[in-house]
Amino acid sequence: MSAATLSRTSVFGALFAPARVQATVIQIATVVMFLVACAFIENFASASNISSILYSASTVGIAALGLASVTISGNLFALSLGSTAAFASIVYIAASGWGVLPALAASLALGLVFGLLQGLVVGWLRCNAIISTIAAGSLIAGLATWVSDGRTVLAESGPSWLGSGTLMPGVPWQAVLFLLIVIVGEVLMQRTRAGWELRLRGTNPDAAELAGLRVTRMVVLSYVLAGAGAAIPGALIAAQSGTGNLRVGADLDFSAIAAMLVGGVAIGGGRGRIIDVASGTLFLAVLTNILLVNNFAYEVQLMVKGLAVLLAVMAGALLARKKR
Amino acid sequence: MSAPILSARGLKKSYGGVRALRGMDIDLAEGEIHGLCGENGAGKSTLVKILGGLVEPDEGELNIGGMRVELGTPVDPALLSIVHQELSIIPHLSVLDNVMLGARDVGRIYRRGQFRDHVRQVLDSVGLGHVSLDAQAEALPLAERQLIEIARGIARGARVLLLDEPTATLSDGEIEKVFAVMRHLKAEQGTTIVIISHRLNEIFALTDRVTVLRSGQHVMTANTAELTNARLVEAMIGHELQTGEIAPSHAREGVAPRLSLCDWSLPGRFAPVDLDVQPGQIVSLVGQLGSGADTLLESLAGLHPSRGMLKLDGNAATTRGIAVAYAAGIAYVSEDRARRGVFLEAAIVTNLVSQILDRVSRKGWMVTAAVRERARQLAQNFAIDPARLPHDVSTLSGGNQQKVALGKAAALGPRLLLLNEPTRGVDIGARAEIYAQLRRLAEAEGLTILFYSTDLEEVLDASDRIVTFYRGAMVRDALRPQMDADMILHDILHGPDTPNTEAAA
Repeated sequence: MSAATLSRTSVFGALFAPARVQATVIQIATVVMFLVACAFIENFASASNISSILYSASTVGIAALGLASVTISGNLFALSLGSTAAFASIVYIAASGWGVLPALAASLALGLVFGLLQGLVVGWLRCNAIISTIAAGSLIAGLATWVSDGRTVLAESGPSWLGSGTLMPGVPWQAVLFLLIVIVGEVLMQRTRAGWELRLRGTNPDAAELAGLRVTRMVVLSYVLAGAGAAIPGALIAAQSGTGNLRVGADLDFSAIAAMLVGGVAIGGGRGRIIDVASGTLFLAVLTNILLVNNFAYEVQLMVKGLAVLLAVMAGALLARKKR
Repeated sequence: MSAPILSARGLKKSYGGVRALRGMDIDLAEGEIHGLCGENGAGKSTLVKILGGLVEPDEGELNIGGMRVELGTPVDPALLSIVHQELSIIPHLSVLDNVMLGARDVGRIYRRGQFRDHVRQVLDSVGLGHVSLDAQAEALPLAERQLIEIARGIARGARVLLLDEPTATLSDGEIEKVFAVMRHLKAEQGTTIVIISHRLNEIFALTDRVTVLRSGQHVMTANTAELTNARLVEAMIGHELQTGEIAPSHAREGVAPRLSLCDWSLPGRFAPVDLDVQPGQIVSLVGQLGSGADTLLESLAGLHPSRGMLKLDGNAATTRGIAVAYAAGIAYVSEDRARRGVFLEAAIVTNLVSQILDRVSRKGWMVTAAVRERARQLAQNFAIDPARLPHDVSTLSGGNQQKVALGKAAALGPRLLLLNEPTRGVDIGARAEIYAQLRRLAEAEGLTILFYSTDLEEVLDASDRIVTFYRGAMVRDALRPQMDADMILHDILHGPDTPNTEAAA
């Protein structure tokens, strides 16, 4: 066997190894589905439709990326993303008078603080990850209602570049931001010491602790990232719609979980990459859009999303069993 | 030989590309104790799982009690019952419930009352007469939980009992109890017992016949009485074992101690200990579980908040927490390899550098070349196949996993290396490699090694110096040439000859 074929088979083997096969299949399926839709569905490939796919993918995707740091580090899910996003949308509108970037920074700061607090509760006090974040979600939603008096806040200024601007037709700035975060996240997760520690913590928390890794710090960090990842989509939606209210993050928690799991991140932690989250997000966004342009009702979209997650979870369980 | 109680023909099983069994035949005679020997990865556990119906083989057939058994479906526990290597005790359930777990005569509603007498008898017979039926399983020591597992098989009245390393977690005193139970079962009830063990002395002490597997194939079946140790080892590894005679390095005069303990104690677990250990010495701490020897080892790694003074090379060191101990130059390898010792689902290369991430990174960024270079060195030192570095540790056999666990701790370049059960569940070939590497580290780099082990063979083979413990107190501290197996057993089972406060101090 020559060196060239050897390296090709090993690349092929790596892509379809049990740990990677789901991610690879979803990546291929996304591309195939996209191309088929372009060819057969009228107006699918139009700039306005592509940009609507990218708008929904960017907001869900950024939340899913933040969430993935929690899941990969071995703490299942954070269930406070929706309310964090809602609060962030209100803060963004309230601060939008100062300009786009200060408003974005203000919502980001809010997400960081809420993430930090949850991280300390889970990482430092070692409370149950799921319950703590559900409680935090309720608390944050309550605070947001109190601050906003339960009303929708409206922006005084007009649409901004962050809300509706495009780099070129079909590619909104929001999608560029999403892409940037994916690249930075992927590099940080694969190439930094903290990224390694975070992933090792996820594969085996006890062994990570005994190996002397900075376990508490990594858990806190993962929640800070999740908080930031929830606040940004809140700000993006607010910038786009010019409104901030409690309905902004309505299905964000489940959508983010769905995108991440479909992409191939393991629920149990340790397995999965940031690019997998991106491909899972795009897969669901394209699928939902195809249903939408074919006039399937919202309930059908919900069912398809639910089914996709179930299939992803079953695939994960089957792979885990096969390895034994 | 009369018709075998169990007979398997042509069992084959592959996992992915790995052929775990390549056509295995085995016959078990009624009422015999049959040993299964082979190195890690030889296919013993797979064979046991197939016999128990937990794994479906790719090919083959199986008869138990003269009847063809459907492969891949759990076998009636009254016919055949497995005692697993990994404990399958439910911690929050009572002892009674744990024994009854999975029994088929329970019916739709579980009424405990009618089973109490039976379970009580079974527990008495495995030497758990002192354990209450209603005690929670998690409150029991590890060894007693293992005995409960055995009791479960007995309670079902299985005609064939398969024990997959039943003694790996037990100390010698407890092993003797388990053996007595097995001999009793064989004599009184004609139960056929299959036992897997890495401890060859157990095989010779207990079994009537032995079957050896190598690389998923049947190598030989022989009467134990006609075998010698060397012959058995040769059959297992396929060639004669080259054990370089390990010459115990004696204590040297006038060398400053590497480790110095003064009044080191953990109230309720072990009495104050004074101990000086020189660089390059390998010291075993020996005692039954709960004797304090294991806790002492863990306390040196900062896993228990202990009192007293610990000095490394003359400087007082604090060991508050494992990270502090690592920073001070103390490394620790856990006895629980799968759960705490290694990252099974991470690559071997990642495992090897996992404790020195700060040294293979610059300003928070991993340096790939440094990672690769360090991993390659460590793999070479610990005889790990470098071609496997990118693969997950879970793809390795137990012995190779243990090499990864050791390599990962040795990567720290410690001054003191603490090993808890250094070769539990590791086959003879890998054991020899591990001992050789430890010896090299001790001699070449002056590393001081302390280990805790419940395996007497290991203690005698690997140590320069042996420290025995009984019920939380040190009994004896002697160089290896002055100790033999009988003395160690006497110390750890009975303590000092006369109540002597000086020896216990």
